[in-house]
Amino acid sequence: MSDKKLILVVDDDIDLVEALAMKLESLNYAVAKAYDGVEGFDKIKTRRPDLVVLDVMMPRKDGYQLCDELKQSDDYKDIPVILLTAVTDAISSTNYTHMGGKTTLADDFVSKPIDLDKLMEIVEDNLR
Amino acid sequence: MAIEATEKIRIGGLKFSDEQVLVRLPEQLAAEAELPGVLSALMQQKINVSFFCADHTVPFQAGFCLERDDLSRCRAVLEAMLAAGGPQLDIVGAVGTLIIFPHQGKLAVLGKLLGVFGRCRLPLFSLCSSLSGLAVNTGYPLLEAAAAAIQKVFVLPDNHAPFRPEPLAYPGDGSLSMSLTTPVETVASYWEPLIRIYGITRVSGLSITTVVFPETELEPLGEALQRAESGLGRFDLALMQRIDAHRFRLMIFDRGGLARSARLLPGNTDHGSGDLLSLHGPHFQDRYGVAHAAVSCLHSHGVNVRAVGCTGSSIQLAVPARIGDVAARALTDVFIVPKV
Repeated sequence: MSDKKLILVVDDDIDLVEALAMKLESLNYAVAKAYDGVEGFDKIKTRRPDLVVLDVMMPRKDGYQLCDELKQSDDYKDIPVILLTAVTDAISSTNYTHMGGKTTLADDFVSKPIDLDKLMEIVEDNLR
Repeated sequence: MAIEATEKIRIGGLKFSDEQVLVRLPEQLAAEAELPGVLSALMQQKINVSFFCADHTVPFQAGFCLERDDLSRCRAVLEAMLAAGGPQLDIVGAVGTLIIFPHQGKLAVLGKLLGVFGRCRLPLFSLCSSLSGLAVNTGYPLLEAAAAAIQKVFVLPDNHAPFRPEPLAYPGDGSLSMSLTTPVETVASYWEPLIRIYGITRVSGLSITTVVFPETELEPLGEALQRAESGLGRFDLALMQRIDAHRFRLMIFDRGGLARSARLLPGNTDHGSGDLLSLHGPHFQDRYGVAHAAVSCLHSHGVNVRAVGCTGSSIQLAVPARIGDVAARALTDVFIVPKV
């Protein structure tokens, strides 16, 4: 088994997934890719990642739902989750209000358009 | 491992766009020197361009997709740039963009996709690759039929359904439990003086294969691409547009392998070389002026642009050989590139 940390990138922006994967691989991470929340959870069950980079608005299952499932699971709650979101200003760093009034806890977030330098710092911080 | 022509290829999924309009520019406006003005006119009207493709081989070809609601403003500014009585804009309504992903840079994937469109006689207006996707513009009412045909030659994940654009949410609809001054996870429409991107990839000394072929040869061309390099052929960029009612021009940028297989391709084939810049991350659907920023920047620096392909979250700019580094430095005038 590789010593590399495994990062799962989940986003329906297919080119963003590819661009992030290229960047993470260049920094010596292993990368798994998924394009919606259902596929994301399947990938997590197949091979547990060390960290998840997770878009919010996605088909089939959005990032809030997937984050909720992970954080409420004894098996997966310790996996750091970084949310990618266009929601800004009115949110705190780790608490989000879902459209339906639910809250979800991620470990950190990055606003879109993504500052890649900042995202890489956050990834590194959460993998320490 | 080589992929047999009859073998299904596994891909990650399909995406559909909303209904779009495709505008094809007459050669006068498709010329390299004119494009900055065209794109500036669109930017000043705050028109989002979700797909943009230009090929500066004679006869010049350029076209783009936009929302139907933006068409009248688009026509007003572009028709003012045209001589009365001369060639006018060619407008195709009810267009949909179908994207398959990831293409993995495999000519076999491109070839199979073209083969499907040829075999099923689905309309194909233009095609462009992005970092991960192959975007094809076809008839919007035919997206489902195209998807069904594609699934006969590609394997999709279990229970996959084509991704469609998400519905928008706004603070006033009562669905939010907190007040926000901006929509939640919406498609923004904004402009930035400096555009943040995730990186620029430069590939030098690429081989450029240009094929002009009749649309009746679309399926044979697709099959030939699948056989290129014994089924292992790769590409860095693929662009295709109609040059008239019955013919296409396909440009493929690759590392030289396709030139060795060119005798397999139907139609007239030409070869050249160049450098390719790929900018990752500007969400075309999220803002206007992105294509303008790239094209006009290089124009102002005197960099010739052989071809442009903008789709998904990718801008791809083909420049002459050995000019890639100069062009990449020029682009930092308008794009913020991460240090990572």
